[in-house]
Amino acid sequence: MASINLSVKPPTKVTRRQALKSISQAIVGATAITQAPYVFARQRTQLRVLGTHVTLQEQLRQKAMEDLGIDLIFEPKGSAAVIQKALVNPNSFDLYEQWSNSIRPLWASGSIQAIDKNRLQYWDEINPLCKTGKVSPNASYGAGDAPYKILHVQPDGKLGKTHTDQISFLPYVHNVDSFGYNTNAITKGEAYKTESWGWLLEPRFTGKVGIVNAPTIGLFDLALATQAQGLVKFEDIGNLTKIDLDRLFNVLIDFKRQNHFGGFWNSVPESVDYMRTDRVAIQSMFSPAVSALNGRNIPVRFAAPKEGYRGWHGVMCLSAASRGRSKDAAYDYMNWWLSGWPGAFVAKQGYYISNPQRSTSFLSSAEWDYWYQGKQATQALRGTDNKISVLQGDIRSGGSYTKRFSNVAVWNTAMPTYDYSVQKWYEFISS
Amino acid sequence: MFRTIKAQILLISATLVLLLLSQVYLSRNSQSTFVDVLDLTQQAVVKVSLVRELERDVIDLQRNVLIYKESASESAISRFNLLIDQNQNNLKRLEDLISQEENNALYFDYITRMRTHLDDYKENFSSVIEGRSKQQTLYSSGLSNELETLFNNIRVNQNQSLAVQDSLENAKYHLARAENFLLQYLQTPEQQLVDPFQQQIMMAKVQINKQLSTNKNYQTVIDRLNQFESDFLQLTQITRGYLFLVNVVMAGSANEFLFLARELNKMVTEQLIETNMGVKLTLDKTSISSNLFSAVGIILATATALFLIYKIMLPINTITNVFQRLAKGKDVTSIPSLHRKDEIGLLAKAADVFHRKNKQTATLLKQSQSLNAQQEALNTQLIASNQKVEQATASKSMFLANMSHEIRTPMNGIIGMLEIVLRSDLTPSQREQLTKAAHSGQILMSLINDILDFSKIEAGKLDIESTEFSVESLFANILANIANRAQEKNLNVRFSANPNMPAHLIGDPLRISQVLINLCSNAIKFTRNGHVSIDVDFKFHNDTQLLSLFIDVTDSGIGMSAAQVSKIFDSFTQADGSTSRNFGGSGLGLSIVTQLVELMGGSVSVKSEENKGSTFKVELLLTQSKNPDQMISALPQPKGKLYYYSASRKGFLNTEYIEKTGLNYHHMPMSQLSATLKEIGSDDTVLLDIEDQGVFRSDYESIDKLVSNAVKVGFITNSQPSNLPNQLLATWPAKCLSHPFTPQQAFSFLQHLMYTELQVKSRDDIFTNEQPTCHSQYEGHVLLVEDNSINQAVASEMLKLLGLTYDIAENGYQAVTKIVNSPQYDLVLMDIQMPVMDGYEATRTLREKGHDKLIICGLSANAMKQDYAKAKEAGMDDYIVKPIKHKLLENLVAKYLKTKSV
Repeated sequence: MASINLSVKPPTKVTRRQALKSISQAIVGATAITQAPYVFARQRTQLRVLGTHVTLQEQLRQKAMEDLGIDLIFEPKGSAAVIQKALVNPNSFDLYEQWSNSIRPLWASGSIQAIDKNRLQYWDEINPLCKTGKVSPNASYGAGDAPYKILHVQPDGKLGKTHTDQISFLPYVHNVDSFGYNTNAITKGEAYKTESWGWLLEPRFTGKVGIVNAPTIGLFDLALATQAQGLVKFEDIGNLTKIDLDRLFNVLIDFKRQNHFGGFWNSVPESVDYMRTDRVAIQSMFSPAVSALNGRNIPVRFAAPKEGYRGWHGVMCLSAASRGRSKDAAYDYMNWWLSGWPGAFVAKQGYYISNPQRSTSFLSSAEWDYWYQGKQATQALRGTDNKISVLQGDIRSGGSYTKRFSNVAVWNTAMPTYDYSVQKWYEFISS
Repeated sequence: MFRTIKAQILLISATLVLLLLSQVYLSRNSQSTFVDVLDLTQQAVVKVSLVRELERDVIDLQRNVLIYKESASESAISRFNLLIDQNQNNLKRLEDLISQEENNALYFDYITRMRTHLDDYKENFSSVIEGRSKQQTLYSSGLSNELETLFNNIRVNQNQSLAVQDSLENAKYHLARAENFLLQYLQTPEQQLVDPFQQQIMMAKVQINKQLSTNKNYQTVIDRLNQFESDFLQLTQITRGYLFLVNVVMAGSANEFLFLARELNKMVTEQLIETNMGVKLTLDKTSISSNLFSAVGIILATATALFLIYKIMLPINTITNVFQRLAKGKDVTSIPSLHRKDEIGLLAKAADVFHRKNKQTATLLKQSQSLNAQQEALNTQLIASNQKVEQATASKSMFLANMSHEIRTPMNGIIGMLEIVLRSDLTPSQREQLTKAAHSGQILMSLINDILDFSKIEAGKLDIESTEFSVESLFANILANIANRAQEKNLNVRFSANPNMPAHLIGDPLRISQVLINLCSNAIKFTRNGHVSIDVDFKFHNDTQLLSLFIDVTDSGIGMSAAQVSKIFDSFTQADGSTSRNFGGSGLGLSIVTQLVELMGGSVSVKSEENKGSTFKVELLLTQSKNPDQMISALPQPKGKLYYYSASRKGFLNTEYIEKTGLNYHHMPMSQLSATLKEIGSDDTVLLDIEDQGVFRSDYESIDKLVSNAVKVGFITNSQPSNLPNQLLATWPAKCLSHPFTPQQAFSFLQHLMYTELQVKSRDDIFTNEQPTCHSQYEGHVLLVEDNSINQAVASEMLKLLGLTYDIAENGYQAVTKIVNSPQYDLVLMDIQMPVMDGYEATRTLREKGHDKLIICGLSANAMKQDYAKAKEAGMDDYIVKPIKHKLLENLVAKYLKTKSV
C-alpha cells in the first residue's frame, strides 16, 4: 500500500469534533440560563491525526481512547490530499500517518519535527528492517528509498542511515505488494519461481490487465514488468532518469495503443470490481482486495514474483507545530501503537508491525503461524470484522515475514524525476 | 358426446368464436407490441445519443482542464462547470430512462460509478483551481516582489571597497541565477530545478554573510533570502499537488468514466439491435399466425354452412311434411331419417310414435266412452250416499244441539229455583245441602254448555264476532270469574299486563273470555297449592290494523309429561285417564279452546313439566280500535315523592305500571324501610308489599311511625292470606290493593292513594273484584211471555224477589191479546221461541198496533249476534240471555224501572 489517492471520502456523519463542539456550546447556553451547571466536562487532551483509512480505523480509535484516556480525532483523506494538507498547514494536525515515500517532501518543507528516540518505549524491540535495512543476512535492501535510508536525522539536518537520537518517523505498519491473478483464467504459478512481474505485459493477457492509477506505485509495477520481459534495462530501478522514463513510456504507450490494459483502477473497491466482473484477469493489487475477492469465492492469488516484491512502509510523523500536552499525547499514541494489541489487530488484516514479538500474546498460535510464519492455517481464521478471512489449510503466498521482506525488489519512492514521471503518466493513461 | 345437432352446432360456434377471439387478441397484441417496440426503439435511440454525449462532454472536460492548467483561464472554468452540469443532467436523464426498464441493475451500477467519478472529477478540479490560484498569487505578489526588493537592497556603489563591491556583485549574480531557475520551474515544474535554486540562494547568502560583520543592515537581506527560498519551496509543493491531481487523479477518473461510457454504449447499442430483431420476429410471427387463423376461419365457416343445409335443413323439411300429413289425420307409409341418432332421428322417431299413437287413440276413444258411462252412474250413486251421510251428521249435531237445549231448559229451572230458595230463610243444614245441589247444577250446566259449543263448532255454526270491546272489562270479567274459585283453594292469583296496551280492541270478547276462563279454570283445577299467574302482552303489526295479543297462563300444578302434552288438545282427552278421577272434567275444555282460538286466527301452545306446572300460551289476532286510549294514563306530578318497598327486586306491583303513570318513585328493599324512614316527609307516599302477617308484624313499628307522620300509606298484598287486607285496614287508615288486579285497578289505586282529594266514590278501601250486591225493590207491573212452565216459575220468583207484580202469557198471541186488552204493563219480558206466535212476530205486531213506548225485552237461549240484531229489528228494546240470572234481571229492571221508595 502506498501513496495512492484512495478515494475515501471524509465521513458524512457528524464527526466527534463537531459533536463535542455543539455539546460544549449547549453546555455554555445551559449555564447562562440556569447559572447552576450540573454537568462538568472533564478536560481531555485532544490528539488530531491526519492520515489514510488504512490505519485510521474506528476500532483502533476507540481502543486507543479507552487505553490512553484522550480524545482522538481522526481525519482520513486520500493520499494526495493528505500530503497536500500536511505540507501546507502543519497546524491542522498533531500526527501524520502515511507512506515512506512522503517523508522527503515533508522533511524538506519543514512540516514535521524530529521524533526523540528516547521517548519511544519499545525502540529496542523494533526489528532490523528500518535499522539496518536487512531482516535476514541474505535479504536484499531493495531499490529506491528503503525506509532505513531515510529514518535518521543526520547532524546536517538531512535524512540518512547513520543512527542518531532523532528520527523522522515512527516505523510501524508495513507490507509488500505485488499483483494478483484469477486462477480460473490463468494457471497457478509457483512462488518466486514462475510467478513474474513480466506477466503484466504477457501478450496472451491482452485486454485483461489492470494497473493501479498511481505513478509512484503503478510505475514500479510496470517498470519491473518491462524489465522482466527484457524490453528495457534500468541502471537503478529505484531512481529512474528522464531517459529511463522516456524509454519505459515508449514501450508502455505502445502496449496501451494495442489495448493491452483493461483499466487503471483508482481505489481498492474499484480493483475488486475489475476482477469480480472479469474486466481483468491480472492486475496490480493490494492485499485487502485479494482478501475481499477470496471472501467472495473468486480464486485470486497474490503472486510472489521471482523479481521480488514492491515494498511499502507506513510512517507516523510528528507535526512541526505540535507541542505541550498534545505532543505528550502524540508520544503516548506512538508508544501505544507498538504496545502489542494494535500490531495484532493489523496482523489480522495482513499487515505487519515493526515489533511483531510484542503482538504474539494477542494472537493465537494459528494466527501467528499463518500471518508471520507463512505456515498452513491449522484452522479457519477470522478478520477484524469477525468474518472468516482465511480458510483452514490456506498458506500465505510468498511465505513468512522474513521470506517476503528478504525479497523486496523496490520500495515505493518519490524519485527526483517524480514530476516528469507524473507528466509521462498522464500521457500514458490518456493515450 | 357430439352426437346431437345441438352439441355439434355449439361446438362449431364455439370454435368460430374462439378463432375470432384469438384473432382479435393477436391483432391487439401485435399492435401493442408494435407500440411498445416503437417506444423501446425510441428510448434506445435516445439512450445511445445520451451516452455519446456523455463521452463527448468528458473529452471536452479534459480539454478544458488542460487549458486551465496552462493558462489559468476563467473561461475554461465556466466552460468546465457548464459541461459538468450538462453531464450530470444527461446522467439523470439516462437514469430516468433506464429506471423504466427491467434488469437495470447493471446499468444503474454503471451510472452510479460514472456519477461518482464525475463528482470526484469536479471536486478535484476545484482543488486544482485552488492550487493554481495559490501558485499564481505566490508568484506574482510574493516571489516577484521579494526579488525586486532584494535587488534593490543589494546596492553596489562606488564608495564601497572593491572586495565589497565584488562580493555584492556575486550575490546579485547568484540571485539572478536563482531567478532563472525559478522561471524555469514555472515553465517546466520539475523537482530537479529545486536543488540548483537552493544552491544559488545558499551562495548568495554566503556572499552577503561576508558583509554582515561590517554592516548589520544586511541581516534583513539574509532574512529576505530565507523567505524567498521558503516561498519558492511552497510554490513547488503546491504546483506538485495540483499537477498530481490533473495528471493522475483526474486523468484516472476521466479514463474510467470514458471506459464506463463506452461499455454503456456497447450495451445500449446491443440492446437496440436486439430490440429491432425482436420486433421483426414478433411481427413475422403475428402475421403468420393471423393468416393461419383467417384460413382456418374461412374453411370452418364454409363447412358449417354446408353442414347446416345437408344435415339439418333438408331433413327437417321432410319431417315437417310427414307431421303435416299426420296432423291432418292422413296415413303415412314410411318415415324418413328414422335411423339417425341426432335430433332429426328423434324427430323421425317422434313422428313414428305420433303415427302409432294416432292409431291407438282411435281404439282408446271407444273404450273410454263406455267407461265414462259407467263412471257417471257411479258418481250419481256417490252423490246420493254423500248427501245421506251429510244429512246424518247434520241431524246428529242438530240432535245434540236440540238435546242440550232441551236439557238446559229444565236445568235452568232447577238452578233458578235453587237460587230463589237459597235467598229465603233456611236452616244451616238445608242451606248447605241446597248450595251443594246448586253447585252440582252449575257443573252440569257448564258441561251442557260445553257440549253445545262443541257441537256447534263441529256443525260449523259458531261465528266469531267482531265488535269493539273494553280490554279492561274483559280482564275484570275474567278475574271476577276465577277469583272465587282460586279463593276456594287458597291459591294466589297474579295478573299482569303490558301497561301500554290499548284500552279498546276489536274482536269477540265473549269467546276470548271463554278461552281464558277455560284455561284459568284448568290451571286452578290442576293446582293444589301455589299460584296461577296470567301475563298479557301484545304486539302491533305495522302497516296493518292488526294486533297480536299474547296471553300466558302459568300454574304451579301437577304438570304433564311430553307424551301427555302431545295429546292434550285432542277432543275428549285429558292428560291421563286418572286425571278425570282426581280432578273431574269432560276433557272438552281444551278442545273448545283450541277450536275457538283457531277460529279467531290465533294459536295455542303449552309447555309443561311434570310436578312443576304448565304454561299455556295463547296468541290471538285482533284488530286495533281507532280509540287511542291506553289502559293507564299519566298522572300529574304530586308534591311529594313515592317510595315503594318490596322484599325483592320484583315486587307485588309491576313497576311498569308506576312508570306508565309517569310518577317519580324510589324502589327500595323492604329491609331498608326503617333505615330510610327519616327521609320520608308528610308529602310523600309510601307503598309497601305485605306478604303475610309476619311482615305485617315485623314492620309494624315503621308503618305505625309513617302513619303517625301523616304519610300516605298504601299496601299491596297477594291473594292469600285473604284476611290480610282487612287486618291492615283495621289497623291503619290506609289503602290496600290485593292480587289479582287489572292495570286499571292498579291505576285507580295509585290515583286515590296519591290524590286524597279525589277520593270520592270508592266503596271501601279494598280494591278487589267483588261486585257490589244489594237487594233493591222496584215498582212496576211486568208481562212475562214464556211458554215453558219451569221458566215461568223461575222468572216469576225472581220478579217477586224484586218486588214486582206480573202477569203471564203462554205465547205471543196471548201476549198481544193481553196487552191490547189492558195496556198497563211497564215491561214485557218476551221469549223468542214460542208456539202459536214467536217473540219476534208478537213484538212486531205490538209495535204495528201502536205500542211504541212499551218496553219489550227479549229472552233467548241463543246468545248469538244475529239473534240480537234480529231482536232489534223486530222492535225490541233490550235483550237478555236465558237462563235468567237474578243479577242480570235486576240490572235490566234497574235500567227501566224506579226503585220502590222505602
